[in-house]
Amino acid sequence: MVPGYDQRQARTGLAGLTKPDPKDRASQIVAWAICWPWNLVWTICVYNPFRYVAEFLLKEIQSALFEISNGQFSSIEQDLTLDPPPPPYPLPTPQPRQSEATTTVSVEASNAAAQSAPEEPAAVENTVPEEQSVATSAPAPSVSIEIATADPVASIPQTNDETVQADTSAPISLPVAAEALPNESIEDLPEEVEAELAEGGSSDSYTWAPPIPTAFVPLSNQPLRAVKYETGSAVPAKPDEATTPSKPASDPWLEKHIPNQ
Amino acid sequence: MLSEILTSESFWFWTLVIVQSGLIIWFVETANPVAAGVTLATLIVGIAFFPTQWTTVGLGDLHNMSFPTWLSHNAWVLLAGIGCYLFIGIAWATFRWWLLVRQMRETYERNKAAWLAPGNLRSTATMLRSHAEHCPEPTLRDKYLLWSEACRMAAAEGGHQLTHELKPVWKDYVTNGSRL
Repeated sequence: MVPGYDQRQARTGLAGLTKPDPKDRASQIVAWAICWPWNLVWTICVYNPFRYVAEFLLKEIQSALFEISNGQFSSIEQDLTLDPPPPPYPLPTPQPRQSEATTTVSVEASNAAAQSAPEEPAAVENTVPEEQSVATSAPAPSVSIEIATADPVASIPQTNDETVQADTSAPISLPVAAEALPNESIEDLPEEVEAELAEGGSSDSYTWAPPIPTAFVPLSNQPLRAVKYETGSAVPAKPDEATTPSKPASDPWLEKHIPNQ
Repeated sequence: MLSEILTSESFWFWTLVIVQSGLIIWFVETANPVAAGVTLATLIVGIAFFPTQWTTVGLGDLHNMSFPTWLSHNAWVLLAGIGCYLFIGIAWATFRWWLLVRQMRETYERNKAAWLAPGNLRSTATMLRSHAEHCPEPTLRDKYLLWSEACRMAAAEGGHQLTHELKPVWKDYVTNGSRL
């Protein structure tokens, strides 16, 4: 409330405006119903309800006519409405700096899993391209890659442990090369992965490149010509001499003369 | 001439009708249904004191029979008339309620359009800034400064648009009825 305001000076009639409740005005409504002939005369003489009734009827008629127009012109408006432009290409999100989010790759190679089945070393697949291959292959070494960021919730643990796969049946989205992991430490990672880690990016970072524009490949050697169709005529007009395409000299198909039958 | 008018039954009958009607209108406008009903009842009873006017109001049969006999003969007509009267009264009350709400809405829209005019928004912004300069309370001062800036920006954009920033100012204006 503004200081110095006096409610007695309210001149707008909006002070304390609330939605009218019939319960609060029941006495008024009963008085209207009991003494309606007198209230009718008074209302007509003072409030001029015909203006409100006329405005109300006019708006109703206008809205009804507008609905009719919308119904008839909906398909025409769809034809004349241009399609929205395609969404922009996805921009690569900036990777967090090394100081802000520490990226650690912990590789736990369990030799025990490999030692548990020494008689089947050839069954261990080097790569795990799909979930099915993981489930059907021999006991693979337990590999756990955890990408830990500053936000603990954002860490994404992944594993291709067979027992875990059998329990959760969660698909493996990132194939893991198992051949280099069991006996190698973090220092033995490939150079490109180390370079990405040194730059602050992760090994699975998405590198975006704009798509190559499609080159126009003509379907024939004849140049395109525009033919104007007259309204009501089924046969297109004959092209003028100026618009007649010149025959390429080395086109064997155009040199063949096939008479009309 | 004057004595003839004052002694005529017709004059006092119509005087009674006009005065009672004025009272009924007054009581209805002031939302006093009890007083309006009592006044209506006294008007009906008062007709009994003017036998020469019974024919005028459609009660000429009372000259030929007693009131209980007339009541027994016209009971159903009387009940139907009362029912129609109340039915029309309910319909009229509904229409009158619609009229009242529409009037309130029209008043609101008119005041809103006047308040959102660019000139009024500029003067409101100036007044709010003045209030803020003289307000000792920091919280209230910040609020007035924020509202002043919102009014100034809305006026610069042409007004006539109740933006999200203007809503608290408009609500305060409607609640307090003050001209900021």
